[in-house]
Formats: sequence, structure tokens, C-alpha cells
Amino acid sequence: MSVNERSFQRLLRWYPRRWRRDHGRILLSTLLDAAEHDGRETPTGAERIAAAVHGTAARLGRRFAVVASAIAVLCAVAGGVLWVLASGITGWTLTALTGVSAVSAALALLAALRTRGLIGDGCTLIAAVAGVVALVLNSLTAVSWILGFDEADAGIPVTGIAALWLPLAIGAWIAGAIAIGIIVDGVFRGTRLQPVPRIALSALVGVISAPLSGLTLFAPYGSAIAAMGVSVIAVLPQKRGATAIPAPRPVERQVMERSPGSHAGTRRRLLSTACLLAWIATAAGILGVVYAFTGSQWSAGATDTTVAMGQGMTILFLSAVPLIAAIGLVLTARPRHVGRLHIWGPLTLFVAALGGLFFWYIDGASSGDVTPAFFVGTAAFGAGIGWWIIPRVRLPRTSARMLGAFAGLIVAASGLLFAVIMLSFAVPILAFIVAIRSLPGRAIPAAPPSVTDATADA
Amino acid sequence: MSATLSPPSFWILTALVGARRHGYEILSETTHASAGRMSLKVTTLYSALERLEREGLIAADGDEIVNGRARRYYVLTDHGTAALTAQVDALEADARIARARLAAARQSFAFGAARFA
Repeated sequence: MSVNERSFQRLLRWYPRRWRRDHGRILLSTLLDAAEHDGRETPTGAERIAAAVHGTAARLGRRFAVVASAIAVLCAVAGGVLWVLASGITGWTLTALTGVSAVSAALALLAALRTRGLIGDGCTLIAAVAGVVALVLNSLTAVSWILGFDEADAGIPVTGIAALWLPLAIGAWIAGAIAIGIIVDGVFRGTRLQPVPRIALSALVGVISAPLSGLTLFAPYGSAIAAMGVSVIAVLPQKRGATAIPAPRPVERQVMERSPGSHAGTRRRLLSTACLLAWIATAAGILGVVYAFTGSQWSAGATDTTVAMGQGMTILFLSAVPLIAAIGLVLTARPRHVGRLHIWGPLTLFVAALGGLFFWYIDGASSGDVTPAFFVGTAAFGAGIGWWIIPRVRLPRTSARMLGAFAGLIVAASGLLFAVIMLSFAVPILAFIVAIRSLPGRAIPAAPPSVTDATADA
Repeated sequence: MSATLSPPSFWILTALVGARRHGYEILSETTHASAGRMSLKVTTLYSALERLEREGLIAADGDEIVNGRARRYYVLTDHGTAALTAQVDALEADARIARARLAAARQSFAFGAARFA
């Protein structure tokens, strides 16, 4: 029985051209080998489905993440600029620009997570569909709200899409929860969590964070800052320990890694401290959220809901400090591509930015005045973003410095620090994820020494 | 971070221990070594190989044309060896605990049976 090669070649059409050029012949040969071994002429149904999933997901690569991030940033900035410059801009135009920005940011995030191996191909596609559905329903909810508000204001009965606000919002919530749940489940798969608690936790995080994510992505510059973060994740170096050796690891190295005070021991201590800090941030973050929404009912210091919201926000800013420290420790514990200065330097600037927000909220946020503390925070945030990017992008040094400087300037000039205010509601969720991910485990692969370490050792 | 290997990754790394193999060899070896419990599809294999290569656990080791068909060979990296070793240590530790508890349960059952005999 001869193999029908053409039918196997057709499977490659699912893949992007660049992937076919690099891997197509290799995949085809292996498919033909497997078919010959099984005595088949054509691909199996399972092979067709797997090729469709893998090939479609292969299109959501690093390049896609960068392009989609750029579209998200441009749409968000265009919406913001139009809003300021052209006072006659309609809610529809802004909703469309914000919607495109949010969808692009979400797809860019999925592509970046997939590229970094945090979620699989099938999960990426399901989350992409659910995420796009959620964001489209979110946009329609906004349109429904605008129309309903206008009709109610004019004293006419609310009909058509304007009357569908609640079902649209619930649909967006459910689809968003599915998308986020799938992503969180994919991230937790690399931990020691058992399937049942892992899925339950992922579902819980999805249900809680879906409306918060919707608010964040549809806030002015919310999707822009998310997309910028995604573009940075997408271009970060990701290969670890790429030295190929077919032989087993030398015995001397095993002894070194198990001895007290070794790299593995230090990493475990760093992760334990990070875990503790992340739990502190989770508890403080939950307190901040609860205070922001209910403080006016029970706190003597909160005279009304606005004051309670402001005080809750300051608690959230403070709770982000141990979270940032925990992230710094986790990054320090991982195999390093950059020095500790380039981890802790930007993180210190982010803490300074939170400090600026903290003092702004105490001094002038309620009156709407922009105080020097806010300017300092904005400058620190821009500088932190620029510093974070420069040592990590895989570009020639000059290009990396330009990219970092431009990104820092854009962040500082466009007041993207405002987006951090909305993102601060995500502190307890992020802290919880960091706490779970940094739980001290027994199976920590040894890190190859960095270039700096190797030089120092020599 | 307590990362663990998924079953396909575990068996792919196991197939590459001490040997340089191409895609179809890895498929055959994983099926053989796992006694048929792990049977990967070709596209799933390449998805996993891409991910493992990105994570630095394996590395491509050259393309060759054999009998008119293109082969790409893969080898285990030192980081892949370390990850597999850590996973095996963890599995052995789990197995030791389970075995000890089973033995203790058997002993107490035998003791109880002897008392009632």
C-alpha cells in the first residue's frame, strides 16, 4: 500500500508560511513515516484535527504578539488623543477604537503566553475565541448602555439592543471567565497542584477577574499598558540552558546542587520569601478592595464612598509593594539573562511610581489637581519601563536603548500611570498567582550558571 | 517555582537520554519505552518539541536527508537532563512514601487478622 503524499501535504496548509519553510519538510517526512508504519494511505482524523489546532496556533507566535500589541497601543493612543483634541468625538468611535485595542491586546497576550510555553495550542485557541467573544459582548454592552442612557434621558421606552444590557453583560462575564480560567489553568499546570483544585482555582480566578479585566482593558490606556507589557513579554529572551549534551549530567554537579548553600538551596530560600511576600500582598490587596467598596459603611475614617474608594486605593498601592518585591525575588531565583541590577533597578522605580500615586491620592486626587508627587510617579514609571526593556530586548544595543527610551517617554508623556490606578484592583489576583507559582517545591530543575556567574567563578 | 514535566515531555526527554534522535525515532521510542502507555500524534510531537526547544530542555542537532526524507535530529541539553533528573527524583520520593504506607497497612492488616485467628 503506497502513501498518498498529497493528502499529507494538504495538512501543512494550516501552518503559516514561515513555519512551513522552516519545519514543513521535517513534519511531512515524519507523518509519512508514521503512515507507512501503520499501513495507511491518508491522515487519520486525529492527525487532521491536531494539524488544524497546532497549525492555527502556530500563527499566534512572537511576531503576531508584537504586531497585535502595536495595534492595541496605537488604537488606544489614537482614542485618547482624539478624545482630548477633538471634543466632538462620538462615543461610538471611542468604543470602536477601545474595542479593537482590547481585542488586539488580548490576542497579543495569548500569543505571548503561548510563545513562552505557558499555555498549549488547544488552550490558546479556545481562550482566543472565548476572549474575543467576551470583548465583543463587552463592546456591545457599552453600546447598549450608551443607547439605553440616551433613550431613558429622552423619556422614550428602551428597546432593541439598548434593552439587552444585562444579558450582554452576563454573556461577556461568562465568556471572559472561560478565557481567563483557561489561561490561569494553563499557567498552573506547571505547578504541583492536583487537577481538581487547579481547575476549581482557575474557575474562581476567572469568575472574579473577568469583570475587572474587562474594566481594565476598556479603561483609557488600560489596553495600551497591557499591550505594552505583552510586547515586552513577547520579545524577552526565553531560551534557558541551551548547551546540548547527549551524555548524563556529571556526578560532581549533582553533589554540588544538593549541598547546603548551593544554587538550588539559595533559590528555594528566595522562593519561600517570595511566597510569603505574595501572601502578604494578597491579604493586603483583598483588604484594599473590600475597604474601597465597603469602607464608607464601617470605617470611621471614611466619611463617604468617594473617600473610602480613595483610602482603599492607597491600601492597594501599598499592597503592591510586597508583590513587586516577591516578583523581584522570583526573577532573581530563576536562571538569569540579566544582572540583578536590571531586575531590582526598574522594580525600585515602579515602587517609587506607586509612592507618587500614594501621595497624590493623599494630597490632590480628590480635587483633581495634579501634584508634584504625581509628576514624580509618572517620571519614575516611565524610567522604570524604559530600564526594564533595554537589557531584555534581543536587539542591537543601540536599538534596545532607543526602544526603551521611546517606550519610557511615551509612558511618561501619555500619563499611562493613570492605568496603574485601574490595574491596582488586580493586585490581590496577581499576588495570589505569584504566591501559588512560587510555592517551594522539591522538583526545581537546576539553573545553568549565567555568563556573569561563570565569569565570576573563573 | 516547582515546575513539573507533563507526561509527553517526560517521555520525550527520556527517549533522548544518551541518544541523538529524529522525530519518528522519538515517536517509536516513547511508545516502546512507555510500553504503549504514551502514544503521541506526529503534530503533537512537534508541538511538544517546539516547546521543549524554546524552554532549552532539548536542542536541534542538524538536519539530514535519509532515503529522500528530511530528518531533524534532537539532543537533550544539560538543562533538560537536570529537569528530567529532578522529575525522576520526585517520582521516586513519591513512590517510596506510597510503598511505605502500603507496607504499613499490610502489616497492621496481618496483625489484626492474626489476633482474630
